Amino acid sequence: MLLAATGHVRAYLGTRKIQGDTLRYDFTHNTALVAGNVQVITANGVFAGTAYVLDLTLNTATLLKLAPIPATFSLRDDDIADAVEEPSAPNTFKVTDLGAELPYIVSTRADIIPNASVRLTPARFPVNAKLTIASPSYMYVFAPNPAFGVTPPTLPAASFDQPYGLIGTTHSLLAAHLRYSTTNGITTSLDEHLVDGTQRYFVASFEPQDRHVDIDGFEQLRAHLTQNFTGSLANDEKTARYVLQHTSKLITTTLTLSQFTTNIVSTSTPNASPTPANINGASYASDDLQINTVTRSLGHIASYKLRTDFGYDNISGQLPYEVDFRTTLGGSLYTPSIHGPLKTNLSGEYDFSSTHYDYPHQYATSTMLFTLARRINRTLSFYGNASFTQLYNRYGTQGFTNAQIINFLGLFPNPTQPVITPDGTPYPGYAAYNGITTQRTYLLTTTIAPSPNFNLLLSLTETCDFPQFHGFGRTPLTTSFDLRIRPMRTIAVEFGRSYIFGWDLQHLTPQYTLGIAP
Amino acid sequence: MTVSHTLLLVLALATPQPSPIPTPSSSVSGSLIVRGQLLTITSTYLLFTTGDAVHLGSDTRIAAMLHLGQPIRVRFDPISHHVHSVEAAFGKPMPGEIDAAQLPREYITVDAASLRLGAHNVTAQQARVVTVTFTAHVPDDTPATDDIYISTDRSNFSPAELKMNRIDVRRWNITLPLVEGTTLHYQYTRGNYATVERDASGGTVTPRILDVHEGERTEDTVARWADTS
Repeated sequence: MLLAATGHVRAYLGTRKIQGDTLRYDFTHNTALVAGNVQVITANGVFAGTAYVLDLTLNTATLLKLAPIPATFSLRDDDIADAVEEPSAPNTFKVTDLGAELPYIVSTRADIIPNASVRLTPARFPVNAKLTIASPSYMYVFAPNPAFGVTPPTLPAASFDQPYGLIGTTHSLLAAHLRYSTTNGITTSLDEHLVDGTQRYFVASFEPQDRHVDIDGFEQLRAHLTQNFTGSLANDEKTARYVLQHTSKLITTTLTLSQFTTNIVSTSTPNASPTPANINGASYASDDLQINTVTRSLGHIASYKLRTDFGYDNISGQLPYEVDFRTTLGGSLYTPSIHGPLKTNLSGEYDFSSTHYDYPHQYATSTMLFTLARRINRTLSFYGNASFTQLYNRYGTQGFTNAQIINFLGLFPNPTQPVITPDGTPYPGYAAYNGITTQRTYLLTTTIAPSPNFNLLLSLTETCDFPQFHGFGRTPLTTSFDLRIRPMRTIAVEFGRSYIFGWDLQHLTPQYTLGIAP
Repeated sequence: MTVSHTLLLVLALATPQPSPIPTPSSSVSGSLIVRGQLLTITSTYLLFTTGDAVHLGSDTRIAAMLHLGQPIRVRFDPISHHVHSVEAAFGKPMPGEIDAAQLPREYITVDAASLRLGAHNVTAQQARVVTVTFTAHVPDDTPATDDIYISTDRSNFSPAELKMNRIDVRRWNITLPLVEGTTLHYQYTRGNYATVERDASGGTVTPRILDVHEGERTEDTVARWADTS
């Protein structure tokens, strides 16, 4: 990434002022090259030359003079009095030819914060040789830290999000976002990033339209100990979550504390579990202590991972169980990828989890997944998988009076009030089925990628569930394509479309996605 | 620091790596022909980016619109050793051309104390786009239905910058056209910042660094994700 300047360039680099015909500044290496009629004005004096290369990190420079006779000099701290005439190091004046490159931004003034950002005032964005888009000012962030510049987790997902840097230093970035989402329309928001290496970061965002404030802080306390705090404050909802995690060679121990408060009155859903989504105007707390083993191998045969979780949910005002403790045991088994017939790669995994609540409720899942991959050649490849999930979701009523059971109905689906599906048929929901339900999913994907500039992905998904009610539940058939092309070297366009069909009132419903990436 | 006047900010470009250079050979029509990269031209001298200065003749023909870093073809007078003509150079070197790094010493005007180091100074060539293939091995507990993305400093680490192609259940790849000699910082995600890769102990990772060269292939292993333990 380079900044190139031409035509009577003036550069103020620290306490020095440099003039010349042309300049190149390398953001990554923090070096500058000035060529043609160079004049350097420093606290130690003024000197001139034909080319001047400055390493701003080491504060060393090389000056090439043609008069009185051509010679090169090495300088430290711009001290011409102590300059040493010596050969320049190889590639000292090496530059990249930018002749054929369409610049990303064109401007007349650049204010650079080393290793952080550059503000260009004004800024023009060339679309092609003739068309440019103008902006009074633009800040580009080039800090090599992923915590900068990303759309932070604190801002909700949007169909379009264009950040606009306002203030950037080596440790902070304040940015405005212009966003569009189908639910909120066009909105603006602010976010601030504070970053300290890879040890800690803090991100806060504010959306003025709905006075939504979100924060996310992370810190690595010690080599194997991290903490993370996230919070959200909106008109009707407040959430907070704290995670403390320790990782050893054998196990990962995670303590999670979360709190949710809402004033929103939600409608009835077929969900059985007492999740925040179906709590009306209540507060909800959930704390967990989770212990997982790291993935351990069983020779070359397989690998496994075990987990246990002890926690409770506290729902204010909910009777008779305001506090409901639960215990979860689970594990996963993974096979390695093995060579199968017809040059295929095969693998499988099995996952099991069972949660017992103090409240008479047990929820268990088991999933088997088989995958098959086959690469025909560089252009064509196939991937398919089949997954089988069984859900066991049972509410016990033994030992309770009818009055107590009626009270429980606020916490689990009421079979007398099922969801009414689009075609008017009542649907009790998966979770209301008192037994084991099954979800089967079959996926086949074909990737056609004849070149890095063209990538087409076709997929077909079939689901086969029990119970599966037509008009509600998972879509039996979905087909989609995802096309990624690169019309220019610096722009990739992704266009996707999917169809769901084969169930009752829905026939060939298209959904589009469009993305643009560098 | 502040820089003013016409500025072009060029992304994804840095100093290219040395490219193979032709072996010095005979001159054409008696004059020495040198291909190099322009640093600057004064009323008396032409400077290559090797740091070498050569004398311009009194009637040297210089093409218009030459710019810093431009590949140029320079013809020398075999007797005076002065520059006879300067023009922009495109495409592959002509037969008989030599690289500026191998310009004979008698053509170079420089003080003895400033004579360049050896002959291993190689002139930079025009930026070249090459393809690089990234392959990521993801952890066993990666959700099978999730897609893997590569996130680079080209987009300020947008977590869903480019979706990768699945090779099998735990391997993904993508091939990108990149400018040779540039440096790319990148990391892997599952599409959002809450699912970026982490190191084995759960700490944030410094982005991986790739120096782009022809035929480069990377094989990376993701230790774990931010949302898994």
